[in-house]
Amino acid sequence: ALHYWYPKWTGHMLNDILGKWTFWLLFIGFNLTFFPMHMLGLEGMPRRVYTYDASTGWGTLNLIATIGAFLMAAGSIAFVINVLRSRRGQQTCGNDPWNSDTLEWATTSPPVPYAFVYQPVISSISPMWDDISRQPVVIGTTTHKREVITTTILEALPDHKHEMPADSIWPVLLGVAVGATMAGIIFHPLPFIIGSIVVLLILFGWFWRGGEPASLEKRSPEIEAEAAP
Amino acid sequence: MNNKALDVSALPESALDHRSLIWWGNTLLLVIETTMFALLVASFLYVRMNFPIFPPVLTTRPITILHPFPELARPTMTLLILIVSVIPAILADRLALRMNSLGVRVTFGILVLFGIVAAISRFYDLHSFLFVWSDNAYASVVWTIASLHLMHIIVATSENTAMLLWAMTHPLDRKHARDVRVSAVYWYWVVGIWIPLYLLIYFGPRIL
Repeated sequence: ALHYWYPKWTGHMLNDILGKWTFWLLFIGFNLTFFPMHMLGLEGMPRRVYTYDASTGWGTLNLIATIGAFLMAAGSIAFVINVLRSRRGQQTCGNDPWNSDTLEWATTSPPVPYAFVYQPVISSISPMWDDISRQPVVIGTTTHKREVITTTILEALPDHKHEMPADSIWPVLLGVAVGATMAGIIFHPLPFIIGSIVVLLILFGWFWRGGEPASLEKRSPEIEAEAAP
Repeated sequence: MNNKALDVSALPESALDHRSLIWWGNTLLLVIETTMFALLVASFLYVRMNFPIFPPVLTTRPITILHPFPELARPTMTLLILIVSVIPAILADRLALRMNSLGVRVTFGILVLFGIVAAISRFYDLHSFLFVWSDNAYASVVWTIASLHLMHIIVATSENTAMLLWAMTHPLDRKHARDVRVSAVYWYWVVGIWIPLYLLIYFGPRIL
């Protein structure tokens, strides 16, 4: 999966031969590491011990597992080399290097935060093979707030627009408060009470919508160009 | 630019029912919470299997209590308060659908009051047990069920209070009408889930 989506993520292709080396080293290494552990477990070896008596006869299987672990390490190193190599070149891989069927391959590599200027309309499970450029696009959403189109559940017909929240500091504060509460109750029950109240107040702040400016979005240049008369 | 286009500008900004994403988020949260209670019910029944005398004899008091049955009258009153509190919730739900600002304010106000009374009543229910949570495994699971549900009453009532404050200070729009309806769904669940749990922890020791 990493090799598959790496071009979409970064705009660079990974090397095919090195990728195959990574696959086989990891595949063989993984099975060589973990399959002997099944047999060792059946023979009574507990997990997560670093030493055992030679008379147990577990030495050979553990040696095989160690060889497997080194193969996996080699596979991981091959992957790191592959990534470093791919960063050197300037050429990008284009939007859809795999001639793949799903929608993420319709946007640029790496994708822009908003993914699509105009949301495409999808009529099958493999939209890229339906010639996406001929598909209709969604228009009529506002640029003043974040909206998503909500569809009906079974027929996937557009039903209504759902307004998404704007940027907010409250979720971070909530995370800090919950973390501090959890750390506190290790030592004393009192932080549970205090934490609950603080969390509740933060949630109140978070849910009390309406104070935000109408537009918090940084608009894309394309949308700005469209918006300009 | 494409000549074919799907124009969504005429679509409504919100939906007041199960088409809304918020409705689904809330409902699936309730599925998770129901699973929590199902696990606690399983724990209760598992504890039952491990005690030949049930409820277990309470030996941690100065005088040993042979049959520490939970009291019935007070928790039954709490249950009735909860069941009656569904009425303002249903009314708020229906009035939100008709975008009736004043009606939602009144019914939600009553619902919040019911929530506060139910929470206080449940708090005294907890103290009417002859055992405390640390006495034995049975006591622990009963306390956990009752106090987890108390927590839900408190959370739902806090949420309803926030909703009420919003409704008091703003005219009802469709988005918040939907929130009122979703809050009502949460309250239906808080009340509904307590009926089997009440039967289990108050009648379970007598018949199981």
